[in-house]
Amino acid sequence: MVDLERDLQLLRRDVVVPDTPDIADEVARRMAARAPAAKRARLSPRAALALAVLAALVLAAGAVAAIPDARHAVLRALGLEGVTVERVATQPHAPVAHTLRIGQPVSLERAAREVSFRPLVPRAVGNPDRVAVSFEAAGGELSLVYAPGRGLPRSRFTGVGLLVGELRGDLNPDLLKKAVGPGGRIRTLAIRGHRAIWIAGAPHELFYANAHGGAGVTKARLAGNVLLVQRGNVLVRIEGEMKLKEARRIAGSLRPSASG
Amino acid sequence: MGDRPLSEGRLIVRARDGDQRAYRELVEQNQTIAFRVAWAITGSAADAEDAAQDGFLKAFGALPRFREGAPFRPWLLRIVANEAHNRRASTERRGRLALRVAEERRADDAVPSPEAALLDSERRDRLLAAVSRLGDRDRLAIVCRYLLELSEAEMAAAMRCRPGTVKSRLARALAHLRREIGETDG
Repeated sequence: MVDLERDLQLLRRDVVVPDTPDIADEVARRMAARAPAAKRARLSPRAALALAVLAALVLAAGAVAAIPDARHAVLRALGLEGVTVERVATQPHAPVAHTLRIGQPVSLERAAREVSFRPLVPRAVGNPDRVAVSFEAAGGELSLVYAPGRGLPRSRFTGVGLLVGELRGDLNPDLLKKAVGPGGRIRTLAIRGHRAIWIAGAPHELFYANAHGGAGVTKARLAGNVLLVQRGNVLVRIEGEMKLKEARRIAGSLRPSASG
Repeated sequence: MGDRPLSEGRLIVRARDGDQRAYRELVEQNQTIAFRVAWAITGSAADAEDAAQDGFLKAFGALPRFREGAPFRPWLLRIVANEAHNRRASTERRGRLALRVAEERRADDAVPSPEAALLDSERRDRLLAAVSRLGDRDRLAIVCRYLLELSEAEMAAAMRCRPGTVKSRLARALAHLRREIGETDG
């Protein structure tokens, strides 16, 4: 059987291999379906003007506006990419996370090399005690973890003092979903000119959608008070047992990492 | 993007920064081999298409982890192969890869080329049947090496093993194939 390998090579020309379907088209379609809603939808000039006026009012006033408590109101139009906030009629019931699933522990320097954005570090609380990177989100997701102490009480939802999450909102328009029940408060505000949403009061539910365009949810957990801030194309989540004033102070101190 | 085609390296950098057009070019350049590897693993064109699509989407998200300058195709194939293996493991119908000869090739047998004449139809059919009877792991090694002509690094990705074990896996698969043919010959 010395000719076996040669015969196998000849066999290649005879065997039917299915034609390759147009995978590129379908992949592009699924990627486009995840593109930011603002880029996808062509707004009429009047609607665009109305949105611009609304955004200007919100930002210029630095307003803290309560969102109407409409059932199932999807609040994506608030201008934050990477997250949708939804009012739900019943109190969320997702489990409390016993272990934070935030990916591989890395140094901040390495994280800066691996994610596709420049990490932001809240100078008000110094360098994080732990840094992790995961790639469930396109472009990577960075987590900065601060241990309890130094004015940061242990969160009953994360087990840590402060959790700061960062990801490319423009690449992951529908990745995060927050379901806020009747006891939760949602407010829009501006922090140093950056759009932000504050969710506080009763715990809310945090979902990660299937990050790569498929259906379903990959993980869900209860979350406590959180401030979401849009910094360029990066969506920053600041979660901890804190009041708005402290969350604002932390968000206002976000600066690009020196290692980025 | 300009008229001049971008190198693979530039396309990767742009795609990593979120340029979906650049990524589309990478998909176009690699979709055939990705689909075929997925087909060799799942044994189904439909599952292979799904696995390749999901693999490409996951690879886009994982691009920040891609080491600049490393060969792209083995890295990509490992992601696609993972999708295909997972799909095969979870699917109810775990059919074997059905290898068959093209009808036009059978017709060509009437005027065989000098090379084709070396592999007559009887031997070809016996060889195909023997490959089809192999276990999944052996058959995948044979198909990747001889039908898809993958490199060692690409085979390792498709077979989810270290590059250093590809040769021994292939040698074992060939030994099993020889035994299969020997049994049928005998």
